[in-house]
Amino acid sequence: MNDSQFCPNRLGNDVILITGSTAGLGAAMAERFAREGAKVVITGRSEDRGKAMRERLEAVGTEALFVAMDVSQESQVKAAVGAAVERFGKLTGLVNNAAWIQNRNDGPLTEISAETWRKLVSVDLDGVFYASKYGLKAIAQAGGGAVLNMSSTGGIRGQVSSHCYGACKGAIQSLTLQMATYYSRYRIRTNCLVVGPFDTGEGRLRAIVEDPVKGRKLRHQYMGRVGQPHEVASSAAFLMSADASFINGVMLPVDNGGTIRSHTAHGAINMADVDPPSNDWVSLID
Amino acid sequence: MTTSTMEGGTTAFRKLDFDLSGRTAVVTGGGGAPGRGMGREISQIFAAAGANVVVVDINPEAAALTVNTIRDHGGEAISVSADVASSEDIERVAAVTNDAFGSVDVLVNHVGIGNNASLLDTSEEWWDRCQAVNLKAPFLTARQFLPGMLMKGKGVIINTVSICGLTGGRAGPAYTAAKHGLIGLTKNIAACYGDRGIRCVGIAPGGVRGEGPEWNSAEGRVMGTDEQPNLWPSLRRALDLNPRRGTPDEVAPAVLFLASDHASFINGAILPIDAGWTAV
Repeated sequence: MNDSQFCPNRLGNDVILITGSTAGLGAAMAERFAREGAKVVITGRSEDRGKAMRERLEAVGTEALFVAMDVSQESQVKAAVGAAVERFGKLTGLVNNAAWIQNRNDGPLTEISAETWRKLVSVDLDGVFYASKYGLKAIAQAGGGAVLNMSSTGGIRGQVSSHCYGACKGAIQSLTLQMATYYSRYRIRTNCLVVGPFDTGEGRLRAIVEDPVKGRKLRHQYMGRVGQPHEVASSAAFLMSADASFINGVMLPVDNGGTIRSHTAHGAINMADVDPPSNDWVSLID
Repeated sequence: MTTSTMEGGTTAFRKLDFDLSGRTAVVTGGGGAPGRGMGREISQIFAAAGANVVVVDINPEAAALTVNTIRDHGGEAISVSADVASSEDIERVAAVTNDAFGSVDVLVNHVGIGNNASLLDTSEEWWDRCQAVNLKAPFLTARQFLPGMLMKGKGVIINTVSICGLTGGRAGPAYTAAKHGLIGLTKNIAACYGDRGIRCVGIAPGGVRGEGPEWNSAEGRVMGTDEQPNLWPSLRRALDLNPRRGTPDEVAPAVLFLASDHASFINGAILPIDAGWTAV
């Protein structure tokens, strides 16, 4: 498949806000949604990247809005949702994508500082709470729509590090169930993508993939390769569209089977396992 | 109203923008009258996406109904009457398919039979037949069509595992056990052949109206229909949350998505299509 294969106008009536969409998977989803006809609200901390992303989407032929926002700040998130509704008259979709990965400082648990833990939770979990709190109300006022939460294989499998990130991603799956159960009465579907490693051009993953030992481990777990961003974006577009009208409260792994292989002789291998902090064995008893 | 709410689609023969042109798909349990049955809808949506479709059904008239509808809309399809629990019949399906369209790219193991009998009311004969149709048949078809997929280095197998494969207490023990087993088979195929280009996934429909002719066949008692509204308290609760049943044409787009290259990084996954029934 090439990433130009999409479904024109499948999201033609939708206005979708994506948190953390100036780069990476969020940007890939934004472009996908735009190509399928949605008006897209891009958010992120970087003005430069956000404006560049907005111009990219406008070049596709859709209307786009960039709102600078730190997802860990409730007032900023509230303002961004308000700006989206003001600009487009409604909000019909929300993707909780923004996340902060701080692998070098995040775990194992006994090694995480309270400050790092708090900062991670403020982005990776508080951000989902804030965006959902205001986004769900706006979507309900529009008569219904869809929410997509982004989780990770690290949220359902144990890792040697990134313990706070993993816990937040697990919590996001639980939140998905709560949201799916309650807000279906407002005709809002809430689903979750459980994603494996994707090549977003980030240096760290590239280095791992190219490392002879780490890359082999990673490719074994994920059956030969890491994913491309358009492979997440196509799943996201499906779940946000009417094609998924009877799908609600679902955790859909997009991981090339990575999470079903964890019981092999090689054991589970997640991103954090192939790129652990300075030591992957920490003596707890000095 | 937006395009993405829970209102659902009603179009009988929708053309979505997923391209399966040049590919051949086998759908077991694909027969049925218009507007009835998920297997029929899956067959139709595949044909609308450009696939050559092999409609397999134990009832030749039901298979012909689906094929005629597809052809009326300009699609390519053939029907094969077969008992999917018979390896001889599956070999015949493969031979007919090969003559008509060549090797198979997409296999949908949709057919299933079930009832709501309690364990103490389940006969050994019913248990064996239920395992044969729901669990042995997907093994037989996968064994038949996997080699061709492996030669191409690409193929998709989609098993209908039902929400009864994920939960207990909503159907008879024979059906529940078989569908749990089918999830195991799905993950085994995904894990063993994923790195050779094969994706194997499951769909878990629940609360879908008219869940295929198989429920109304001579073998299985009618289950989960409006005639038995008090059958499943948990379904009633789910309907309280989202007061409508799903329709077969809300299942078919998910199967088409999973069969297409849009789902190229999805393998071994089980996708509930139940409006949140299993989330509650």
